[in-house]
Amino acid sequence: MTSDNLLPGFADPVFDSQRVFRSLLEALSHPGTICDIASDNASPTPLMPATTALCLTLLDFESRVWLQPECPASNADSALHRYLRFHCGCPIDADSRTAHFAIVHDAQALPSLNTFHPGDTEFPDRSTTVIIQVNNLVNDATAQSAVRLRGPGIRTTASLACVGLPSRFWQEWRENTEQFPLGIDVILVDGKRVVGIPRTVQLETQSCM
Amino acid sequence: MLSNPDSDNPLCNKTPRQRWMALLARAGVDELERALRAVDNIPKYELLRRPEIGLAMLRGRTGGTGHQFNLGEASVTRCALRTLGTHPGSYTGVSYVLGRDRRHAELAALFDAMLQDEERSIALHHTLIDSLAATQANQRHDRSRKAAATRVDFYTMVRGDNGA
Repeated sequence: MTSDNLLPGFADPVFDSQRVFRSLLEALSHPGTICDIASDNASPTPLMPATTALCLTLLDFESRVWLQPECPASNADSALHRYLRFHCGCPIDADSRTAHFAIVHDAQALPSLNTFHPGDTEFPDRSTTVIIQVNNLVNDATAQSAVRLRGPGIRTTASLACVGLPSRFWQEWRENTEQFPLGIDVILVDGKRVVGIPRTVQLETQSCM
Repeated sequence: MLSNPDSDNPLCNKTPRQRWMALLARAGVDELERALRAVDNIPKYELLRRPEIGLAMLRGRTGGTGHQFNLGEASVTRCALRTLGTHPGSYTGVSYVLGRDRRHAELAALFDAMLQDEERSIALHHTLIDSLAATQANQRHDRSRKAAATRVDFYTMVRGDNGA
């Protein structure tokens, strides 16, 4: 049996995924704002509850997903693979340059942002959306790794800090914003909370790390 | 009555599980409900995938070369559930059922899970699977007979007057 110990998906697939999608829309239209994704789903290791909810909402048989290769969870027989195959039916893509979505459960091992697909000039929307799991997301300007963000959807600036992102991330993000309208979009996840960082988000100052 | 009810049915000619899944999918809901009432100690279960209705494209082959064509779409209901118990007592049941009957899909998945439990399997084969196999073989036999009665054979007469 390959489906041993499979976890259930959404209790109510239609309304749950609509609710999660609405929260994600809020998060991406107000970058830097921490939004709650209320989800009481069981999550396959190593996903956080909100990552699981996003997977169930966003992924289907047409969306290629890239998983971090250097972890035991990327084994084709792992709980995560079987969960995604069963509930989302999505193909797993070994190449991060062609994937529509990337799930980074271990932010420390995040590959360079330019290894993801920034979209084409004709179709900038075909870029990779990268979901990154971090810890201790806060809107606190005084936190040690805080950065200030500005751009569409942010009234003045938004302060954001989290634990787990490698320090090169925001440097690479600067390069990412320079290729606008191309570029990747990032969703930061901490437990049941998400922050949207679309490619329009500019870094106000260098982070003080 | 055929001696081996499933020997002419390619779907029922594979593993035991494939055979009972096919039988459960073709069974009537009332048959399954009746069988479930007879089961004592029905296991608790959680739905991995609630019964959901979708479409499946039916494909056929035609012509001398076996060209594929789309015959049409059919409604299909599928369900997956897991019985709750300690590890060996926990089984995953899956069903794909023609039509739009959610209850049928759920019952078929539940029986699929129970049939994988060796402690229940033999009893369930006696009370349910064997009778489903007999009923469906009879229905199939009846339909084949009715169809065979209307068969028309086409002959091509060899005239033999053109050529050496």
